[in-house]
Amino acid sequence: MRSLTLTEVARIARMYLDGDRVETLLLDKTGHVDYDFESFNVVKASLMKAERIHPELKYSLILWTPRAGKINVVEPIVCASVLPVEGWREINANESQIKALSGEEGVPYARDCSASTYFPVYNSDHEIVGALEFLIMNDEANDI
Amino acid sequence: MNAYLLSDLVRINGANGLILETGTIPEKISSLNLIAPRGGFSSFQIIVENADKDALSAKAACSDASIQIELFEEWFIETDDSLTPDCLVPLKEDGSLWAKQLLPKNIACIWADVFVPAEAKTGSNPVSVILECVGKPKTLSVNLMVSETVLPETGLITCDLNNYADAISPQYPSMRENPDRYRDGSYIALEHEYYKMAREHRSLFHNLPYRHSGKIKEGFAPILSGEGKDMHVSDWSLFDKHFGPLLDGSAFEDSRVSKKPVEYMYLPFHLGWPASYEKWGKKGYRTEYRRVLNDFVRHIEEKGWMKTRFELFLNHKKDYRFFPYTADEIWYEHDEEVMDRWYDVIKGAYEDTKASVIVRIDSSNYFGVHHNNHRFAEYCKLWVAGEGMFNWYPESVDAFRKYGNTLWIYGSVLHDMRTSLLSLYQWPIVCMMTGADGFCVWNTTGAGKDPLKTPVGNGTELLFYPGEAFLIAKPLASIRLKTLRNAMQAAEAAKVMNKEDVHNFVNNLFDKNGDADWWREKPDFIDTPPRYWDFGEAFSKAIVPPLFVGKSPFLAAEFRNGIYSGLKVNDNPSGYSGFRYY
Repeated sequence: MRSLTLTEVARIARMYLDGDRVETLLLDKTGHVDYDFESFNVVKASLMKAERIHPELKYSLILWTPRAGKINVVEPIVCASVLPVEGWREINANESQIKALSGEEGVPYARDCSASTYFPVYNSDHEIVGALEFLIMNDEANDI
Repeated sequence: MNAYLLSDLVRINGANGLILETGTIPEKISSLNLIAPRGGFSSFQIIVENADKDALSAKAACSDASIQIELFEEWFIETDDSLTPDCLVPLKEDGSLWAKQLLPKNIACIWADVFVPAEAKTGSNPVSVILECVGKPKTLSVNLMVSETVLPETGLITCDLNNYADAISPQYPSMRENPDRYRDGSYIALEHEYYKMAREHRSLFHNLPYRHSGKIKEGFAPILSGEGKDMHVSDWSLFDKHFGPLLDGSAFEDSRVSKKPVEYMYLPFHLGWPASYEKWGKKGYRTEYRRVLNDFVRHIEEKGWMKTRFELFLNHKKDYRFFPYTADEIWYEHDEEVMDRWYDVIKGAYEDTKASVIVRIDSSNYFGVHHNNHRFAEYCKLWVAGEGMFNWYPESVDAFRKYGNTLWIYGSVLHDMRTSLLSLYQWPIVCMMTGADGFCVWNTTGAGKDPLKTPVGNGTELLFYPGEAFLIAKPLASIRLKTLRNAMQAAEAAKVMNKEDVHNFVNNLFDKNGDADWWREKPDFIDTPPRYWDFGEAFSKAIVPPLFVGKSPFLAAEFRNGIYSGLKVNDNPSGYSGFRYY
């Protein structure tokens, strides 16, 4: 049987990732991170399941969204099993994240010890609401 | 070579040879008076100037051969403009130095730990310290006064040294380069040395077995098999090898402090284990969780691990993006929901057994709401509450007695290592004076990349140093760990003395007008949610100021000497003899 490619895995993963939930899961109160529990749990479960579509590819999934009111700033809002290499706080988006958030599919990004590929995530109005990162680590994943 | 003795309560700045705490020239004394409890330790220092470290050796012996004296070379840490001694490297058997750290002025500082067995005779015992350097011996003398005090069993106050597994392996090249370390016994043997060292310092090594991602290192949880109604523990062997010696007490059989099993231990349960978080809210989550919890309870009973309290604890924080809830230090009121939903999953699966399995909660921000007349007070049996918030609720001590709950104050991070060593007496004394059952130090193995040069935050997360740099495959104690132990000894000894006398003595010592001064009035802002509080100036003003600020570090000597002499008072300001004890 033919193995799935990462692009095919990403297509399946995003079929079950509810972009409307992605839009509503983050509540911003007085500068502290807070979530709509139900939306977070639905999205988190989707990401955890998607990590099991093709475990041999050893990817981990992280969902990024643009930070409201800040140009080219993104934050990881749901991590399935590992933290991003960049940590858990908001960051200036890298070029690949910006491209994915503009609609480009499967944008690679290489680091010394890891490689990522980003895909846009859409809501039911077919608006881009986030970027899904497929992170493949050569070493042990970043964790706290 | 010139040598002198120094108290354990101040240190030499390796950069200039002056007293670190005061910037003054040390008083160069060749004899010292020291008071020691039985069944415990006391400490002093030997300072050698113009030392040829390759040729220097030191030995110490007491006239009572049952009294053991251990000597350590002090290793200095770069702390901005000073060199602060903190890491303690044992001297070699022949008394020569291991580390031989190069320092300005060629200073060598040696820490002496004196252990007096519980059965030792009371009274005066001369201790000789013989230093030798290129055949030129120099003798210093310590008059060791063995007190009537016999230290009580540990546990009257819990000194909880919190850690996060696995923070140890990265500090040891031989560990981090060994992919089999969790299976081949090497990690377990090393980790047990941390537990043993903590016990020897009247502390509890506490190691949370999961990360914020929910990942658990091999051997920190048993192996599970099956799914749903078939889920069960299928292999306990590595878990038992890891924790069995701590839980049956065999790991502590050589301890001079206590041979009892470890007092508390985190279990690996969290929101994502044993059931996958994918199933959270579904019936299968509950099925899997309860089945494995039942397996744990049965295993604990079968093994007879009845003297340890096993903690079920949720450390999750939404900031780290793995879970939507902050169950550790609840910040939003609606996060209470996760505790209730989780408790609903485990309720009835562990309580009515011989195993002591308990729910723990760390609740500082909402401590005032949660500690009494609240469902959390009913089902959470171990509490950790911020020292500042605890200041406002003296009634919580009796409330927790009513519920049968245990309360530790959360000491947060340690102070920068340059801070007065009296700061380490703060938590034991506060527990003794307020009735808190213990205190939690947030992290004690946070080494950073170069702990022997510049540990994280000047040691704010570190009490144990990795010994491998000195070819010692064990942790090395710090001066601050020794100081904390010396504080714990006196505070626990005080717990079994007449309460009123002790409180009067301590209140006088620390300029308190009475026991009420250990508390503060509830500030107005507690009526608003904590996220709106000003944790800067307003909070600082609302809590009891730290004990050590503006105080001489030698107040610690006054405290412990008073306790060890049974609060005898004479005309000496330090109160307990015709000469000054350190």
